Amino acid sequence: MYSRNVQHRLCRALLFLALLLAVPVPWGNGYAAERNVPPPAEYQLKAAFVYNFIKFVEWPSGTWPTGDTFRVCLLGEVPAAAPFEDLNGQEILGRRLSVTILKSPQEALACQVLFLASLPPPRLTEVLDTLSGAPVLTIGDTEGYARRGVMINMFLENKRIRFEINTETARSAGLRVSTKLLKLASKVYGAAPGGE
Amino acid sequence: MTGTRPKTLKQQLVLINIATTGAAVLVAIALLLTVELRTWKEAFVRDIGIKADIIGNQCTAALTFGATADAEEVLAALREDPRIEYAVLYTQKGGTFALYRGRQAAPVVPAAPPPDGHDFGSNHLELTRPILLHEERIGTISIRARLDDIRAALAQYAAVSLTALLLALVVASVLLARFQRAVTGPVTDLAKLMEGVSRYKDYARRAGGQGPEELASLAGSFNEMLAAIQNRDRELALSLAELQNANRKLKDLDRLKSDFISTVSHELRTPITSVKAFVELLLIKPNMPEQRKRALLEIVSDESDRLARLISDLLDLSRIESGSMRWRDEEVALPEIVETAISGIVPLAQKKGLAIERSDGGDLPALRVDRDRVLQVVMNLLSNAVKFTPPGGRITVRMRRTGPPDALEVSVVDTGPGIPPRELPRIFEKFHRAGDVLTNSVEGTGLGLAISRQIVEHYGGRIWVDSDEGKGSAFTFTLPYRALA
Repeated sequence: MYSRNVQHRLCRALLFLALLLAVPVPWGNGYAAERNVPPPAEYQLKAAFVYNFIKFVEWPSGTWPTGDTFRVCLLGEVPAAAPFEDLNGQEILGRRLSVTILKSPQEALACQVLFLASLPPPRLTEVLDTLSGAPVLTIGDTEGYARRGVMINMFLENKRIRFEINTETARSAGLRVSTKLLKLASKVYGAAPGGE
Repeated sequence: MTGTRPKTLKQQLVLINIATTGAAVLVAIALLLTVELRTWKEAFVRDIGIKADIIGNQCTAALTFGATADAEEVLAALREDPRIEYAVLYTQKGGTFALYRGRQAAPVVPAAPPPDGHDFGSNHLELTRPILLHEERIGTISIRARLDDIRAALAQYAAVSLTALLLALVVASVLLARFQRAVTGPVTDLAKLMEGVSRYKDYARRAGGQGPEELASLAGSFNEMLAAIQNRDRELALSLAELQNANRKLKDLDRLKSDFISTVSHELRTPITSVKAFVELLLIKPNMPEQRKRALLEIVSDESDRLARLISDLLDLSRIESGSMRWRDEEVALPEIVETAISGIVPLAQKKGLAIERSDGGDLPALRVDRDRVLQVVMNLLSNAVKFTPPGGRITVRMRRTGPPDALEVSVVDTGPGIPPRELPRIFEKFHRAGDVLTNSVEGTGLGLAISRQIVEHYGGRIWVDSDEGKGSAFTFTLPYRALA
C-alpha cells in the first residue's frame, strides 16, 4: 500500500523538508545539522515502516487511554516529519491514527508509538527512563538505538531499510512483537521469548 | 439375453446371480467411489487451503515489508509436500511477490492472481486464498498441487473394488451352488421324469411333490395329467379289445354266412338234381310201366315239396335274422296252441304207432305272441319227436309255469334213441341234422331247430335239450309272460 503513494508523498516530503530547514527546531538542532540530510524517499519509507510495525505489535489490553485514537508521536529533531504527518487520519487496528510532535518526553506516556529522532545519548537515556515499563512502542533510526533500549531501530543497508528489535525492552513494556516481524529483523536483542 | 443355444436352469440361475450380484456391488462401489472421491477432494482442498493460509499468514510481515527473500524462505517450507507444483505470493496490487517451485514439473505461473477459490484441473488443484492482516487484504497466495494422490487412491480403490466384486461373486456363487438344488433339484427331477415318461411311454410314473410351491403344484398337475393319460390308455385298451372282439365276431359271422350259402346251395341242389334226373328218365323211357312211372313221379313230387319247404324255411330264417319278419302278436292261450299242434301231428304218430300224452300245469296265463310262430316251434319239436321215436314209443308234452323270471315252459319228451353228447352243442345250428339211423332218409330241411331257437329268443325265451342216449330226449322252451301283466 505504501508504494502507490510514494511519489505523491515524495513531493510533500520535499516541501516539508524545505520548511524544516528554514525554521529552526528548539531541540538538537545542531546535532541534526551535523548529519547528512537523508534523502526524502528514505523517510517516506520509514514512515510506512512505522505504520506497518504497528500491525505486528500487540499492546497489553486496557492500556490505551486515548479513546479511539491511535497516537504516533515524534520526539526530537525528526529530519522529515511530513511523511509521518501524512499518516494522520489513517486507520490502524480499528482506530484513527493521529501524529503528534512532542515537546517533552513526559508527553510520550500518552502515546502508543514514539518515534525518536536522533538524540544525544543522555537525552535518549532520559526519555527511555521516563517511559520505562510504559506500553509505548519506541522506534528509532539511529545506530546503536536498539542496543541501548529502543524497541525497533531502522537502518539503511545496501540502500534498503533494515531494522533491529530489542525484545527485552518491548517485553518489559508489556508489548508483544510478532515473531513474523522478529524473523524479518536483522538483529534481535534480548533472549527470544517463547511464543508470539 | 438368450444365447445361441438354450441354457440349463442352473446356468440361468448362475447368470442371473452374476448379473444381480455384479450390478449390486458395482452400484455400491460407484456410490462409495463417488462419495469417497468427493470426500477426498474436500480433504485435499482443506489440506492445501490450510497450508495456503498458514504460509500466507507466515508471510504477512514479509509481504508488508517487501521482504521477498523472507517470504520465499517461508514458501520453501512447502518442499515438505511433494504434491505442490508451485506456490506464489502476490502483492495487494497483484504483482508477483514471491515464488516457490516444486522439484518436478514447472508449470507456467500466472502473472496475475487468479480469483479466490479453488479449481480442479485434469490432474491438479489450483487454490487461491487472500492474505489478511488485521482483516485487511494485503496480498494473495495461490498454490497448485498435483492430484497424484487422488489418482493413486482411485487406482487402489478400483483394485479393492474389483477384489470386492470378485469376492462377492465367489461368495454368491458358493451360496447359490448350495441353495440352487432347492430350486433346480425338483425341476431336474421333474424333467427326468418327463423324459422317462416320453421315452418309455411309462405313464405309471409319478412326480414327487417336493420343492417350491409352484414346482410342487406343477408336479401335482403333471401327476394328474399322467393319471388322465393312464385312464385314457386303459379305456383305449378296453375299446380296442371290444373292437377286436367285434371284428372277430364279424369275421366269424362272415365265415358262417359263406358256409351257410355253400350249404344252402348244396341243400337246394340235391332235390333239384333228383327231380331233374327222374324227369329226364321219364322223358327217355316213355314206355315205362305205369306203376313205375307213378313211383318216379311221386319221388319228384316229394323232392319238390322238400325244395319248397326248404325255401320257405330259409325265407323265415332270413326274415327273422334280418329283422324283417312281421310278428303278428296277439293274446293267445298256450294250451290251445299245443292242442292244435298235437291234433296236427296225431295222424302221423298213429301211422307210426306212437302214443302222444299231454299234461297241463294248472291254470296258465295268456301270452302275447304270434300264434303261428309259436305253433311252428311246437310243431317242429313234435315232428322231430315223431320222426326219431321208433314205433311203439311215447311222446309227452308238458306245460308249466316257471320262474323267476316268470315264464311258461313247454317240454316235448320222447322215448327215442337220444342224442350223442358230442352233437348236443350243435343241435340248434342251421343245417345240422342228426344222423337218421332208423329211416336212413333225409326228410328235414335241417333248419327247424334253428328257426325255433330264433322265434323263442325273439320273445326272450330259451330253448334247450336234455338227452340220455338210448333213453330219449327232452326239448324244452320257455316264453316269458311278465310283459303281459
